[in-house]
Amino acid sequence: MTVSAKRNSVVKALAALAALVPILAAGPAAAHPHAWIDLVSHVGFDAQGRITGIVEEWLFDEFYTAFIIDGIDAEPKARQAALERLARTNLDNLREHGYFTDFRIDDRRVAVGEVGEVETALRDRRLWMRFTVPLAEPIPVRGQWIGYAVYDPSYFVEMLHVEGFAPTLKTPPGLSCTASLTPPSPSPETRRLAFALDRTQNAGDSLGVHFAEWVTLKCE
Amino acid sequence: MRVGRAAVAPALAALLLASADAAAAEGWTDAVLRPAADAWAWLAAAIAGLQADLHRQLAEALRALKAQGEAAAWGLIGLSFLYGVFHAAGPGHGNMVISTYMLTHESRLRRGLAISALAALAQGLTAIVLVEVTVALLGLTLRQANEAAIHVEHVSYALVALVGLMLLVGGGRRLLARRGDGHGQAHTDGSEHGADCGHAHGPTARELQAPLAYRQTAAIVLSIGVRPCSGAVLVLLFAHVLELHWAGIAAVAAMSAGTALTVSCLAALSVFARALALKLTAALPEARGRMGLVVDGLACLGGIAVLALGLGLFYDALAARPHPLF
Repeated sequence: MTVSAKRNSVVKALAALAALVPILAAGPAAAHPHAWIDLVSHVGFDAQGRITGIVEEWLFDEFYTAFIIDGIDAEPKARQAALERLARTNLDNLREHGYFTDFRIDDRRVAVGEVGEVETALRDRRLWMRFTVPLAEPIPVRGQWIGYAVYDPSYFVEMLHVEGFAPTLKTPPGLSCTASLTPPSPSPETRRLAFALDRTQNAGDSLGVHFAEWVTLKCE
Repeated sequence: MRVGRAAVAPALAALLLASADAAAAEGWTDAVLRPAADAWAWLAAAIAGLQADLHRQLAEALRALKAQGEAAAWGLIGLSFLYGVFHAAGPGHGNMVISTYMLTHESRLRRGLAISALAALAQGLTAIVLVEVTVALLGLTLRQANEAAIHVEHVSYALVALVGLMLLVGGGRRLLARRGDGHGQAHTDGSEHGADCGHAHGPTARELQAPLAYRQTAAIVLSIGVRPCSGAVLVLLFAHVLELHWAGIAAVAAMSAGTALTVSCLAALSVFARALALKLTAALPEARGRMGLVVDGLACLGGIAVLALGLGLFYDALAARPHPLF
């Protein structure tokens, strides 16, 4: 062993020790979800067989619900009014985030419009709301890969379809489509990237996509 | 054989580079790091799934307690403990600070375990005090309590940065003291000194560190402990809604115990990893007579890593916009 080779091995031993630090430190601080939403979704079509939007139902977990409705009047009418204001506020805040709805054609993101009506209620101590996220323009479906996912880009909230409630399609006559649900399965490489990314200041919003549940449409 | 300090400088530079961004490392480091990172990522995902289930079950357990009374309390306590265990196993800044500190500073297992346990318990206590004061005493809404928790979080990150600075200054002063003493390297050529010859003169490294170590312990516990565990805050808020104060507090205590268990395991791993790495380094002929320098250099790097972590978290927290749903 030459002197420089030995020196090299010292460097390596020390570097290995130091390398343990970022591995342990690589985990993002806010990566794990702290709220959960059970999701139901339907794809809406127009008479020409174009996709117009996604009808979504969000059912929040009990902790979030307890947290968010604290201080709200218990009297039914006042409560309902307060819930509607709350749903409106949430949707207004979600607007700049595309309502957490990532609709893609051939892997290109499609712009969504503004949510109109919203229905909301408390269901067994859990906040529920239903609304339609319209596509900015109706999209014809033939010949392309079409899919969507509903997820919080920061992964602070985990959103998954309710078991037994697969996405459904309301296709017009003459159009036959199927929807398949792909559970999130980020590759180890993607996960590594996701965790590494989160160390930079604005990557917080790039984590959720790796843990998103995708709905893929096939039409004939 | 005379290698001199010149050999240590590139070694420290390499350490800096390696810790700056392991992901960018090429060649052999990549071969070592990638499987480790993969395994870690897989584990993180598995834990996240488990955590979601536990979270749901916690809500159930609290409701069961409300409906059935004390008989259901043990279910809640048990679940809370598990939640603490798995929540802490996920990535979190407390883990990062403690692991980094243990890797770069702490050789004694017992103190490593004590720091971990104290930090975990302090987090639970902060959550309880925070929620009790804001909601129960001041009568604020849960949302306002949550906002208070976010402010406390900022303070915690700033404290982490300060701890890093403190560790860096401590390590730097010891390095300078070594140079000022003028012993260690200059006279080692040609003679067969023991591996820790530098320690024979003047105060030993352990003597130098003793008073500092307590300050460091206190600072680390404070910086981590002042940030309330978010899971604990949620459970307390929910317990408050159900008017189950004591159940909430008991649940948080169990959670802290679970967290303490996991963090202690991580701390123990770090202490063992450090011992092994130092042992391997000490076995190298070049390290002879320079182990003190290696230890202090490592301490400086630990300080830099914790400082960077604290600043990064603080900056992120300030730059972060509120979540659209909160």
